[in-house]
Formats: sequence, C-alpha cells, structure tokens
Amino acid sequence: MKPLLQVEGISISYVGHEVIQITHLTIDKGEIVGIVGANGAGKSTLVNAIAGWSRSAPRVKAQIHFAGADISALPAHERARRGLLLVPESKLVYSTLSVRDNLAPPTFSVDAGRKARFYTRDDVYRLFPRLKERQSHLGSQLSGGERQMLGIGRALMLGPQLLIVDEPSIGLSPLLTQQVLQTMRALADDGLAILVAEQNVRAAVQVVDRLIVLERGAIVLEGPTATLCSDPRVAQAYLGGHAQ
Amino acid sequence: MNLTQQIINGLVLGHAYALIAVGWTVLVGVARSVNFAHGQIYMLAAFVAWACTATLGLSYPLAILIAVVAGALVGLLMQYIMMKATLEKNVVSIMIMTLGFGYLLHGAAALIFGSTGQMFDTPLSLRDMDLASVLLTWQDLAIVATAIALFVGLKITIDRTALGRIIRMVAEDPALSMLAGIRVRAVYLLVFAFEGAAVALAAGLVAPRTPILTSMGFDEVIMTFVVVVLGGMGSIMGGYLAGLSLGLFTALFGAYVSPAYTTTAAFAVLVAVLVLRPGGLVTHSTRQAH
Repeated sequence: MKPLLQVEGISISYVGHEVIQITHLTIDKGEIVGIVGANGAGKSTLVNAIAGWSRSAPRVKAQIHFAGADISALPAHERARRGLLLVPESKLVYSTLSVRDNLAPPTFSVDAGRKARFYTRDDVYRLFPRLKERQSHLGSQLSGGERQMLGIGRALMLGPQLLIVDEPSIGLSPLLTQQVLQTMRALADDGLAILVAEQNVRAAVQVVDRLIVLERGAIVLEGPTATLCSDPRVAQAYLGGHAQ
Repeated sequence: MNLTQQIINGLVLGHAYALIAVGWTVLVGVARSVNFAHGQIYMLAAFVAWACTATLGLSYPLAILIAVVAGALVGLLMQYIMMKATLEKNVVSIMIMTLGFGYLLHGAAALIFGSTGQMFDTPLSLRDMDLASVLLTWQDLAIVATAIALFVGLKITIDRTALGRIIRMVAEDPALSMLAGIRVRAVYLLVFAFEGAAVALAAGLVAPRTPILTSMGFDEVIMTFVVVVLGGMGSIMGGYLAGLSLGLFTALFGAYVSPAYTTTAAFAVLVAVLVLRPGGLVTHSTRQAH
C-alpha cells in the first residue's frame, strides 16, 4: 500500500541559498512521525513546504504525493481542502476572533469521497474542555497552551487526513506539553497521521512512533523511536547523554 | 440661514460622505489596500448612470444598477491586475497603480462622454419635500436611507454571517486563512468589487446634487481619505461616524465661517485628530483587545 504522504527530492532555498535537501520522506496512516533537531535545523521550513505554505517566500522544488494524488503544484488552501492541515508555529489562531469563532466549520464544500473525520465544535470541546470554558474569550486572551489546543482544534474541524503540528511545546509547561502530545497520540490511535516538528526531543520521544533527525537541512538519522533512543549519537546530542 | 437647515444639510452631506467612503473603509479593513482611482470610479459611475437615463431613457433605479455593475467590474479588473502586489502587501505599488488606473478612467471617460459638464437630473432630485421652512429633496432622503441601510447590512454581514467570518479571518491573517482552506485571492477580488460597486452606488445617488464633469473625482477621493483615516482605518462604524462628523463640520463651517475654506479646515481637523488620537476618532475594538 502506498504511504499517505510521500515526498521525493525536496529542495528549499531562500534567495538562491539552499537550506533543505531531502531525498525521501513518507508518512503512513495512524502513525506519528517526529521531526526533531536543533533550532535552525530546518524543521519549520520543511513542514511548511509540505503544506505549500510560508510567511516568507522560499523557493520549493519537490514531488509531493498525498492521498493518492500529486499535490506538488497545489497552493496551500487546496492542500488544506484535501485534508493536509498544518498548525503553524507561534501565530496559529485568530487573536481578534472569539474561541467559538476560531472553531469554524469548513468554509469550503467538502469532496463527498473524502474519508476523514470532521470534528464538530462540541467534539473539540470534549477533547479540550478548557476551550469550552474560554469559548467567549478572544484568541489574544488565551495562554500559550490554550492557543495550541485551539490551533489543533481548528485543524480537526477541517477534516484532516494528515495533521502537521509545528513546535507544539513552545511556551508550554512540561505538564501541558505532555497533555498536548498525549492528545496527539490518542488522535493517531484513531487513525490520523501526524507529523510533528519538535525541538523538545525528550518530550517528543514519549509519543512518536518514528523519528527523523534533521541537521542543517538534511536527514542525518531516521528510524523507530525505540531504536533511535538507544543510539548513542541521539542520546548524546538530544537526550542529555544517556541512551534509554 | 437657520441652524436647523444647516444641521439637515450636514446630516445629508455626512451620509453622502459615509456612503462614498464605505467601499474604501472595507478595502482598508480587510485587504489593508488603497484605491486612488476611487474618485474616478465615482465619476465613471455617475456618467454611466447619467447616460442610461438621459441618452438611453432607462429608469433611474435601473441606471443605478447598471452603474453599480460597471463599478464592480472596474474594481474586479483592477484587483485582478494588482493581485500579486496585494498578496505581498506592497502598498506603494498599489498606490501608484491605482493612481494610474484613475488617469486611465479619466481619459477613457473624457473620450466617451466629452469634457463638458452635464446635469444629472433624477426623478427624486427635482422634488422638494414640503417641511415647514426646511429645504430637503427626496434625493437627499434617498441618500440618507441608502447609507443607513448599507451600513446596517454591512455590519450584520461582517459580524453575523459565515461570509463575514471569512472576511474577518482574512482581514486579520491572510496566510493563516490559506491554511483553513480559504481562497484568499477570491476574498480580495470580492472586497475590491464591493469597493467599486459601493462608490458607484454613491455616485448614482450623490452625483445628481451637482453638475457632473469627467474631471471630477479628486474631491471625492480626498474626502474619502479623510473619512477613512478619521474613522480608524477600516472600522465600519468608525467610517459612518466620521462621515457624519465631516458632513456636519463642512455644512456648519461653510455656513458660518467660509465656504471656500471647508476642505482646508477639514484637513486641519484631520491633522489635529491624528496628533491627538492617532487611531482615529473611533478606535478599533480589535485593537483594544491587544
């Protein structure tokens, strides 16, 4: 069976300077893949390019197949409509809209043949009860953790097949990071594919099935989490020196 | 010159200003864009409506409808050409391009309609209302009623409907909206079409108050600019209140000080307001939230 997402030969450059060069990357249904690496390794650049999106203007060359179709030439909103949903880093909710309005049902007509679960607002409230308590607050009034929940909730309402979450732990307490990652685990166990870019490797390894270690825009190691955690290079560089 | 008459004049003029400016208010609020061809679209729409009634003999409401469609089409075409600059938020480019479009529209209108002034009479402008000692035409009343209806309709659409929510999403963060599957380009096209249509509607109602010329448009664009800035750059209620204030100020200043210096005085007030309240008379509720 073909993987849900297959990226071949992706090259990303800013003003002629190549920052990402990766030959092959896949994600299957129901698995959580963690892209880890130091600050500046290119994690955000890579996940943004998979979503066809950026707040700046990189040059992306790639062959991207998603859910059986070539989406390489599609703009970000078309990829989103097919269920490839990115929760971006830092500015991920509407600060002038209430929590309720942030949790909007899809504004596009959904392809009847698409097999995905479209969460309702109540589903999202069940998943993150905190958001229900805050439903009439504006996005700008939320804490970092609440914003992360709201960003993920927003994406779930748009019927994701692949959920990409960029740096969910930024600005979150260790406890809240655990909660958000555990929720992702539960979503993946329900069949959702999740790609998470995370600087906090120690937190990520608790829930991801597979790790991709990125350094200076290239994959240096990849494999099942358990295998990589016992690799002395990973332990040395990312887990504080001790192989698990 | 009694005070009641001046206040009535000011209210009519104020609603006219608010109506002329509403398209640009939405344009600034949603797309952070500008349109310096605004006055020329006003001029073109006035001539289209005039030609429909005076030359083709069509009814006045139908003439306004045709002018509104023409205004929307001009707006669509302009935004289509300027899409890249809009997405890149390159306001300097947009400013220059829209100034250019303004000259093109002026030239085209002069070729088609000539350079002599025309009287744009409508069935409403010739009928005075009999209200004791106050002078008011049905045309004036149509301006006030249309402006109020348009602002109420717009406010409800933006605050309460699904389309309004999409517009608010794109206004705050176009990039994030793409990730929600929203066609941001389509929203920008819609907003510019509304800008063209709204100023054309204003032209159909307001232009009959004075003779129309293909060289007009500058006053309208300048007054629109004042209304948009005073109103808080994109706030709909702010635009309405700023239009009203400017109308009353112009009428009273013209009557009791000097009609020749009303524009000068309006700009003096604008500068004073910008120094004292940089956010405009009505500060965005959204800004207060930050």
